[in-house]
Amino acid sequence: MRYHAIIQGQERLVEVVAHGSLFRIEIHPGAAAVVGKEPQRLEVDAVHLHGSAVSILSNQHSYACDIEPGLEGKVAVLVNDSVHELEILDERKLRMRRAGGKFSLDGPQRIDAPMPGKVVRVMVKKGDTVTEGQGLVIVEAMKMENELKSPKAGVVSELFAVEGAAVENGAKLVVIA
Amino acid sequence: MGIQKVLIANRGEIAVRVARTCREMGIATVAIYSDADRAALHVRSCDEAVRVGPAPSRESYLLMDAVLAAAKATGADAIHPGYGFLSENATFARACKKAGITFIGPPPEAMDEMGEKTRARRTMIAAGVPVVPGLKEPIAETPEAIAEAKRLALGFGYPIMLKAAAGGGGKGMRLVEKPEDFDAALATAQREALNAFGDNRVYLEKAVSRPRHVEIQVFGDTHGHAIYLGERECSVQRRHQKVIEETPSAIVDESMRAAMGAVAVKGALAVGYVGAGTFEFLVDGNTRDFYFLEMNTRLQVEHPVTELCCGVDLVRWQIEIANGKPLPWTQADVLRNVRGHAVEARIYAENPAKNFLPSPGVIQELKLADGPGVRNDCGFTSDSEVPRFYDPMIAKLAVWAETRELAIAKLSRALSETMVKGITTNVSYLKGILGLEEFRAGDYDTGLLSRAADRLIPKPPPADAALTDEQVIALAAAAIWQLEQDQRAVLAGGKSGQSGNDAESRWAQAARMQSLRRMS
Repeated sequence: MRYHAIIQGQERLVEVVAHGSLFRIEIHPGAAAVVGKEPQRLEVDAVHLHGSAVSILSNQHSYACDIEPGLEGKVAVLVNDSVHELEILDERKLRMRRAGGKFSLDGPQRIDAPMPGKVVRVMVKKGDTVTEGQGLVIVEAMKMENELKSPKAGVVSELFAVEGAAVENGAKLVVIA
Repeated sequence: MGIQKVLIANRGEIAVRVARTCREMGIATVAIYSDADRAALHVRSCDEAVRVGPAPSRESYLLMDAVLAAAKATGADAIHPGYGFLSENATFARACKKAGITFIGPPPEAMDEMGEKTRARRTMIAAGVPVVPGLKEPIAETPEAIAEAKRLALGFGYPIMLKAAAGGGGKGMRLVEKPEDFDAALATAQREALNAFGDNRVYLEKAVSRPRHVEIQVFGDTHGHAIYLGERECSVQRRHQKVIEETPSAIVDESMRAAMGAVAVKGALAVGYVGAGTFEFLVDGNTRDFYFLEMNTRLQVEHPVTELCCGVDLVRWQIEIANGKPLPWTQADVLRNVRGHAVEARIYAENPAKNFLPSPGVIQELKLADGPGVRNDCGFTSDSEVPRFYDPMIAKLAVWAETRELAIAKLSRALSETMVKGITTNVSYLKGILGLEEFRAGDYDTGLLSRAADRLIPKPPPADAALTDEQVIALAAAAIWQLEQDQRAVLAGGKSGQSGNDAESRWAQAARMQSLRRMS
């Protein structure tokens, strides 16, 4: 099977073939297999344990791994005691991701709740002019207040945050145009 | 006849920890819980459990009437308040007394004297103990009082510190660098103080440069005795919140320990202190002069390091002293028995890479460290939820070893074994702290974590850097895992072909197939 992995901001083609608990893996240096650029080849023995824990033996080295899948192909992989964030995508997901493009500070900016919590203060009104870095909303979670600041100078074009309201992770709070 | 049934007026790891000692002593336990904590571990750790209200602590764990009603309904003859919540509330201690329930803690009079920071300062000044210069009264909420506070602050010289009069644990505490930041910092400190303690009063004092935070554990009994159980070094702090604590402190030698201990015992005796208490001192890192900061009239979060080096159970001591027994040890017993080195790390549900944003949510899987010399105090299990309403500390990991160096190595190893899946924690940040040169040398102050911030939050390597061995294994593990997901999806009956590895929809398909099979 061929996958497209994104690690450290770089896309790499990964091919994996299973023979029982043995897996032959080729990690290409780039997004596609290129003649003359040899992939890194490894053969590992992988055993699934409880849940999503995986024991990997590679070259006699023992790695205790665990997989925590996220959204849209994002995966956090625990290798021994360090966590590696990467994405593992098939062709279709890769196309969707490429279509997504990059964010920029041009155009309206939406400020979302960075965690579930409670809006304790709204410091702007709709139509207010704000400067970059100006405090907009204070969200409290776990007894700590977190001030959300404006990413750019502009005007409060939409205001969803209501003082005292509970908000979920990712809830829309303010739009700065 | 002593205490037969204890209501534990707390949640999380400390409620579990108190319940453990009660069980060992053959004492029945009652948990209280809010709506957010019905499934929490502390509820399962007790013999009985009573709901005290909705999720916000002001409507549940901080409601004195509800807590007392729970004690009466279950016939509890004592209340252990843990730390935080009602633990330093003299009004609550009095209400317990009035209701004929033993409050496992100091008498309310001693709490009045020491619990409120400004009054404690006066008491200690009267006893001849050096204190940091500051405004001894909370700042009243009048424009004149605030102006006067600002004038005094200028006199002491910036930076100054604003602190909640009722509080501790870093809540409602703000460092103010410049006069123009005063108003905003005061408002924030007051708001945090109100939320954390139900009391928005704040006072101010001069901030000492390069200070170390060293505290002395004291214990008093009802027979007029008090002893100290050594010190705890708590200078590894982030935003005034302790992160790593150890005992003994690298800056405290025998004579300094004796001097600090004598002051603490004197202070405890002066107010008729009973039970577990802690005298916090600010120590000048160069001169080693120490200033009394405040007294915490409760068991501290970091009490396990003292327990590890003394070989005692402080909750058992609290209960026995509440039963009127004398202190089990003399000061000489302490000096004879203390040995080795203990370090504790606080595991918080927060994301160090995103400015320590709280990270509440469901812990999918939890693996705690094990092995010789390792102690876990944890309030959660796999599949349990860390609610957004309370403190982000989810567990404490403490270790003991013969020397400081061995203890640090052990804690580092134990942190490597700790796995919390589903939410983000500070575990790797903690390991980073243990690796800091200043920490290893024992040469640090409360500014350590802000100075080392750049070294503790690793920057991503350049995109064209070669993959490390671990990254290669991570890629391999992810590819193998994805392959198995896709194969299972195919086996579960999905059509193979073009979109042959869309794991999510295949999982949904598999679930649908299973439920169909169950129905037919």
